[in-house]
Amino acid sequence: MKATVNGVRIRGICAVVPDEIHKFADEIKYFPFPEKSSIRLGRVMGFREHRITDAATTPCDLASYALNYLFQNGLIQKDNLQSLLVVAQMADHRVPGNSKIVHGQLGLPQETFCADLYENCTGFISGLYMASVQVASGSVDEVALVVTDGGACRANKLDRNTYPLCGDAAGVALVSKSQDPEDKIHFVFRNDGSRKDALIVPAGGCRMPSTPETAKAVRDEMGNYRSLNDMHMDGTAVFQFVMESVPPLVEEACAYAGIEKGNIQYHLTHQPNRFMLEKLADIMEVPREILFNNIVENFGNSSSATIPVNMAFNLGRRLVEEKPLVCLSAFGAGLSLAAAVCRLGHMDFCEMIEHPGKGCIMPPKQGD
Amino acid sequence: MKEQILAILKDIQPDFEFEDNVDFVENGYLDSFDVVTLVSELENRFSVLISALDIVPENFGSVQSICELVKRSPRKTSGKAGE
Repeated sequence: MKATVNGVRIRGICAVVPDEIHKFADEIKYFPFPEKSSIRLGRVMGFREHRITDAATTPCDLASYALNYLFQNGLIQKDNLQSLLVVAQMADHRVPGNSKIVHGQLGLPQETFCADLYENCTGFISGLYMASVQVASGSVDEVALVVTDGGACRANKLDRNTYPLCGDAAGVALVSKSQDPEDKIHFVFRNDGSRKDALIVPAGGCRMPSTPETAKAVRDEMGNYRSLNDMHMDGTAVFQFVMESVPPLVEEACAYAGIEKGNIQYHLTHQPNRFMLEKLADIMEVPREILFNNIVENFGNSSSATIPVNMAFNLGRRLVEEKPLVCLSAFGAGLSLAAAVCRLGHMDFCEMIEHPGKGCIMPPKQGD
Repeated sequence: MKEQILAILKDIQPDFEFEDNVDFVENGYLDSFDVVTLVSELENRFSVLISALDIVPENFGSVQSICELVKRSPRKTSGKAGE
């Protein structure tokens, strides 16, 4: 699907990451592989450190903390928040949805529209599309789009294929109405559900409910221990999918937007690992300097939250002062692909904050 | 080159004999993460840049196929980031 949404812009970005830093060097002892092999793999993939919440902090806590930070600093008015869209693959509860939990945590007005979008690594772009369409419909002036991921503290530490990558984070993007004719977003989406098994958590849903049997970790042929409740990744299939599918997707998005790919100033991609992103930049014939690949080594892969983390960490103030032409792209479970081309910037804010853990939802007030 | 490649393979997976008549990927000597490590080692050792489209199982099935991959991969240029 392709779509252009006119008259919308991202007014601000706030990314929140846990302040708890886990070092890859300290985790090597968990992996059933020689230390030298893990160190070498870590160097190539960009495993250095990642941010993981404590067990008391949930995806909704991260989201509410970021939104409270914005309220406290006058960047949005709580009483005027018209729409809250929460995108996540992890939920605080099976019922009700995350958006309702956040609504209650923040004490939002009863008139605020709240909805949830279950999404994986393409979630920021899918959410941006949904929020943009809502704004363009004229029903609201602004949507608080929240992407959040948590639960890495419960991931399988014996699986070197997945554990060193994972990270927790949330991002808030304020998607706003704009009168500037330059403010429009061109989207392209692709899905291939026939490849669902390449990236899947087999158990835990209706198809295969979690049981003591599905929780039993089994050693795979390479030595990793993994249960049916854990993430299963066919690394080769995912790598090939990304390398074959993302370059034409970006070309298509640029052509649809009526611009040359060479005019894109930044490629803000989802962040799976450094190796994949270096290879992706090369095959797209894009300088590695404008396709950032440093989020996994600093924060970990937080699924749909990596793009706002990428924006805040790598561009930050530049997205307040400037308005570069960017291409967002993401790929992941499904298998799925998404891209968006737009001018991004002249924001009111683009910041990263740290979450202190313990389920906190209220940042300290200035002067505290 | 063959000896150097064999030495890299043994260093990555010391538990296996990398014989000529066995497909390294099909027989589980190398998983996708070993291939990533191998690509990085080959690029550094032989100063080549292996294309993402060449990172497929059939190019890592034997010492001979790895040799051919290295030989046809372009030399790294000094302008490429990440070096």
